This record gives sequence, C-alpha cells and structure tokens, in this order.
Amino acid sequence: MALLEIKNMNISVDAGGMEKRLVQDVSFEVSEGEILGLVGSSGSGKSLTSMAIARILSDDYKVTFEEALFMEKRLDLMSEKELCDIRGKEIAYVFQEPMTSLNPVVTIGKQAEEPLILHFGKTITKEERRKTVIDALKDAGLDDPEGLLDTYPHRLSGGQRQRVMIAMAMITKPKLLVADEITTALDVDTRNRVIDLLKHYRETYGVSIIFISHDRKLVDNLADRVITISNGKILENAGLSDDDMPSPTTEKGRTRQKRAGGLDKPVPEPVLTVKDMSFSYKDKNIFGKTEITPVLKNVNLTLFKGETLGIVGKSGSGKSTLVKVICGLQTADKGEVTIKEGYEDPQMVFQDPYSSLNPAKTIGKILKESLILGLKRKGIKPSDYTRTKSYGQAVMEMLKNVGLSSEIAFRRVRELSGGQRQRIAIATALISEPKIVILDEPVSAIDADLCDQVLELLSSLREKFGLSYIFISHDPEVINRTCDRVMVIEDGETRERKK
Amino acid sequence: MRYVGKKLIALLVTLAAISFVTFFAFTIIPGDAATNIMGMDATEEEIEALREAMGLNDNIFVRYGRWLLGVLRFDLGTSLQYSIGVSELIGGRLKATAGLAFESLLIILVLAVPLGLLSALKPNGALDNCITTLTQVGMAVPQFFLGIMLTYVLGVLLHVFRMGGYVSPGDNFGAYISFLFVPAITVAVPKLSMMTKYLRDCIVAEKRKDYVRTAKAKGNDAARVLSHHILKNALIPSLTFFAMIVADVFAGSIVCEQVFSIPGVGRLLIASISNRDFPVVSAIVLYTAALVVVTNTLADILYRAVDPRVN
Repeated sequence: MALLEIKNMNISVDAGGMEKRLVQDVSFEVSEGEILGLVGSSGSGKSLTSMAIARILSDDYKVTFEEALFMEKRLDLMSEKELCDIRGKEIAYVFQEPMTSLNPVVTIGKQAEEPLILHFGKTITKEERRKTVIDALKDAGLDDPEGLLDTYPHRLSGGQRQRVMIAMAMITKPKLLVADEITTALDVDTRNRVIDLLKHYRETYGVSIIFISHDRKLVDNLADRVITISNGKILENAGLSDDDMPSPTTEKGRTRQKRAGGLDKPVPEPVLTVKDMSFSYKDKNIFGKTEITPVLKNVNLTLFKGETLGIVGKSGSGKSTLVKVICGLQTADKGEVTIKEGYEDPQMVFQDPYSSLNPAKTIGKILKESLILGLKRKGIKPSDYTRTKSYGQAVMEMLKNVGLSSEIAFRRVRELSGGQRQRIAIATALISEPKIVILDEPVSAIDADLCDQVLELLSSLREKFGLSYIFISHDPEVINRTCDRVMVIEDGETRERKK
Repeated sequence: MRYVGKKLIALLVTLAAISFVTFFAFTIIPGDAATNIMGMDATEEEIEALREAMGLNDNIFVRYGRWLLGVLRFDLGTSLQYSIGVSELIGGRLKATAGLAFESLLIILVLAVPLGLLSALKPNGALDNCITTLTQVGMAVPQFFLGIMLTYVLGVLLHVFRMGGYVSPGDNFGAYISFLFVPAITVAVPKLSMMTKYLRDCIVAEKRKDYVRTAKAKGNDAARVLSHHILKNALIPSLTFFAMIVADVFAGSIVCEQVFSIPGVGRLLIASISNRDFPVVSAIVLYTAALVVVTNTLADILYRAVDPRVN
C-alpha cells in the first residue's frame, strides 16, 4: 500500500494574465519506509513538486491534482486547517538553505519544540517536551544538546543548522520526510554524515523519505527508486539512463583531456608572489591592552602566468584573510606581496552573487560603474578610454564574453537566475580588464549543472584574456577539476598539495 | 556589558560636544542679553556695566566653563524674559509637552502594529491598498491643517472638544488628559502613518524569507506564522525608527502647541528665541539634543538585547 500517491499534479503561475505551466501531469507514489529519489536540474520543478505535496507553496502558485492520497486521505480536498494538522506531524520538510531556514531571533530549543506544541499541545508536559527535544537533537548527531537549547542559530555552522532542521522535522516521528536539496550547501564530509543520518532514521523509525537532489550519484547511493524531472515533467525510464545528466566523472575526464592536449607549457612566469607573509588581528580591549589573534603565519605562494592556483581550507582557516591581503584590503604585519608590472589591480568574484550585486541598479549600470572605477584605479582618463569604444559597447562586449544576451543590461539582479547572476559577477570583475582574478567560492552557491557551465566559462575566459586565477573552494572535487596546482591552508599555514 | 559602557561613554562625549556647540553658537550671533534687558533707551555705559556684571565680557571658555558647571549642578541660570529659574520654567512647560508626547506615543503604539499587520496580510490586496492610501494622506497632510480641521469638527461642530482648554495636571488630571487627546492625534497621525508603512514593508520583506517557509512546513497556520515568527523579526528594525519618533515628540511640537494653545516646550522655544533669552534657548537645545542622543543610545542597547545576531 502506498503511503503517498500523487496523480497528475499540475502547478502553474499567473504570468501577466497568461497561465504559465511549471509542473505538468506529474504522478508518483511513495511506499512506506521507501526512499524515493527525485532528480532534476535547477528550475526543473522538483522543489515545486515537493512543496506542493503538503501544499506549502505560496498563493502565487496554482496547484491542481487529479488525486493526492496520503495515508488514504485526500490531501487535495483538505481545508487549510486540516493541512496544518498534517504538516510537521505526518509530513515534515527539510530545505536546502540551512543558513536561512531557521528563525534568527528564536532559540534552537524554542524552534525545535514548536512542532510538539502545535501538534500535541497540552498532552505532553514541559519537561517531556524538553526531554524529547534533547533526544531528537542527540539523535541527529549534535553534541551538547542541552547547551543548544538556549543558543541562537547564528552561533551554529551550516552543518549543525541542517542537523537542527532535520531533528526538528523528525521530532514528531512523521510518516514522510521531504528532504529538498538538504546537502547542497554542505561540504563533502558533512554531506556524507547527513546521508547516513537519513538512513538511520529510515531504519529506526521506518520513515519514508523523498530525497530531492540535482546530484545523481548521491541519489543513486541513497534512494531505493529514482525518478527524474525535467522541465516540469517526469522523464520515462529515468531510473536507468544516465544520459540526461553528465556524470561528474566523465566531465572531469573531459576537462583533463582538454588541458593535456592544450598548449605546450612554456617556462612559468610568476605574476604574483607572497613571501613570508604574516597577519594577525589586533583588537584593543577596554584597558587599552592589545589582544593579538594570529591568522596567517609565514605564508608563501606564487601564482604563475596563465595558471589556476587552487586554495583549499576549512572555514576559518584564513583563506579570506589571505585574499584580502593580496587585494590590498588588509595590510600584512610582515612579509610582502609582489605583483608583476602590468598585472596590478587583481579583481574578485564573490561566492554569493545575489548579495554582492546592488539590487537597485540595472546590470548595465553595475558593469559601467565597475569599468569606471577600474579606469580610475589605473589612472586612465575616461576620455582616453571612450576614444576607442563607448562604455555601452564595453558593457555589451563583456556580456557577450560571459555568454549572456545584451538585453540583460536592462534588467536587475532579482530578475536573473542563479547562473546568470554568477556570470554577471564574473563580468563585473573582468570588465576593468584585470590580469589576475581571485575567485572566492564561485560555484558553491549553485547546483551541479550550472557549476559545470560556470567552470567551463571561467576556463575559456582564462584562455581568451590570458588570465591567472586564484581559485578558493572548500570542495576538493571542484578544485581537482579546475586547478593546475593546489595550496592547502590550515591554521594559517600553507603547504602545496601534490596532485 | 562592555558594550553598554562604551555606549555610555560615547553618549557623554556627544553631549559635551553638543553643549559646547550650543554655547558657542549663541555667542557668535549678533545682539546680546544685556542690550535686550536694558532696552533701546539705555546708554552705552549702562549696557557695558550690565555686561560686566553678568560676566558677558569674560573669555568664551571661562563663560562656557561657568555655564557647564551650572548645568552639571542642574542650575541652568535664570530666564532673562521671565526672571525665574530656567529649570523651573522648562519643568513647568514639560508637563504639557510630556503629556502630549505620552498620549501620541500611546496612539502610535496601539495602532501602528495592528495596522501594519493588517496591511501586510495580503500585500497589494484591497485592505493593503486602503491602508497605504490612508498612510500616504496622513504623511502628506500639514500638521496645522489637521489640527485646525480636528478643532473645527470636534470642537465647533460636534462640541466634544473644548478649544483652548488646557488644564495643568496638578489642577485636574482627568481634564488634562482628555484635553490633550485631540492634539495628541494631530501629533500622532503623520508619525503613525510612517510607522505603519515602515512596519508593513518590514513584514512583507520578512514574509519572503526562508524561515517563514520552515514555520509553515511545521504546521503553523498563517496567523501563527505572523505572530510567532515574522512579527519579532519585523519589529527589530522598527525599533530604531520608533526611537526617532520618541525623541521627536518629546522635543515638543511647535506647530501643534501653537494651534491648540498648549504651554509646552515648543512654544517656549519660539518665544525665547525672539526675545534672545539665551539661558532658556540653550537649555532647550541641550534638552532636545540630549533627548535624541539618549533615546538613540537606549535603542541601540535595546537592539542588542532583542536581536541575538548583533554582537
């Protein structure tokens, strides 16, 4: 007997009077204790599908079913009140964004016990509630659950927050857990542990899980059965074929092959060197005494012309500080940063393109501004520049270079997709024609499909403009695919890693 | 705790700076108190003698020091115009201003939160549009006009409000409260409109955040999502805004006090400026500045207490 049976689900939005279909005739079922994998690229409609099950989509979306059966009850015919009784009790959700999915001003304890208050009310005492919360947090693999109760979310790491989210979802022992890209924002270690956790819940409590991800390999490893969604439709036969998604292994092979068959290596020419550089944060306490927190210790690195140098390290290892010193945003205590003539003014591409671009300005304006600032830093007169080409031309050319159409110039950041935003972030860095570009986690906020495209773009831009990259990431797979050499930074010290 | 200490030190430094600027500003504007007291007919010698006696001929720093010492001992000098102690004078006027301020703040507090919530319930819905239009009007209407209209409708047409009937709280506290209610509405309307609009925008922005989706998925109904999750987040930025309103209403409303003939700080300020009553003007300026700085400091400290992320 199926626990959940969805027949012909349709989701549409009203796009200026026209009805736009986002999900079409999707049908699937989940048995008791089953883990169903739902794969698809970004924008395929898999998240919408999952959120439509317990009907938690906002009113902007119109959802219709032929039938939606859950525990032999019609979800599609339920009133909002009846649905509230099912949400969080029988069907629980965990979402992709652990950093923002918790209420920032409510303690972990209060948030975790809320499903119990909502669904069991006065039938359990305060002490029982507390005990249940502590057990659930412990069950989710969190250390010191008592201490967490009065802690606010911002004190926790992404992995910890995701565990809190999972503990919170599992606290009522639901029949169905919907896990929507819950591992995407996590590093590899944490990812594996979260997967183990899901397996543990299924074995211990017999919970059915809908596991949604763009990562085919991950889903194959966890799920009993896999369905693929593409453009809002379920692909037939999807459980068997791998064609619709390039697997990471082949991609890696392809990139390597390309590089090996590429240019003959000339004698490497250093363009940026960091020598015996140390940096520490100095903070004066109230007594005027200086407290020194060393961040970087005798760091040495060299970036050669045309190469991509990877820097890996855990969060807090000093990666960002190193970058700031190289860009001149922080001054080192000791040691020096030398940049070869003609290679000055390195530019940065940031991790989160949405918040690093001004939402009020059009893309064209943003690019133009970066260009003008770049000219100013180099001491080039605007009139000298515009003699060869106008700002508008420069902006259009740059958009073309990053693979975007010129009409994007008139749009604003919020109107762009994640991939387009990341391309714009790259364009803003490149428009002032730097020779060295520092990429700070440029693909960690986007999914695998887009990640491949962006990496490809970066590699082609490097060839085209003769750039050198410093590529920062926590993801070893991405680093291995893109970098010629890798530096590991640990506790403020660097060492080169042999590939 | 360390933060509070730092804030308090910053507060004192700001106040010291303000007091000096205030004092200095009054010494460079032409005309002085001695000329004013003696009138047009006095001879140059008589005025000079009074100047000497009042200490107006001393070095500016000496005079500032003397004045500051007085301020620290809560002795703000004597009003030149009324010949009574400045503290006493302002203290009396403050009774009217404070009553007006408290009542208008109460109106703002009681109405802004529910109106903001109602407005944000369904953004761009009929109710939202209606409230938004009202707040636009509320912000745009000049205070003197609103005061006059209220007086006309409530006083002349409906006879529920006695014009010019200010009563000192010592004489009849009930009458004092009830008289100030209409002026309080006049003061509150534009600020209430701004506060409602601001709160509405904050709530609408919060509604799109991920934690709201989590709250919904847990089984909260729409009302509880709003009251238990969104509201606290939306109120945090509104706190700073409210602090500005508090400082503003306690500084006294010149227009409103004039329209309703309320003997408050605002009217005293106008009268003292035109009479070059330096001790009173400087005391009011200092009071207003201190009010702004103190409420902002309190808001900052409160902000840290309610928002765990600020650290």
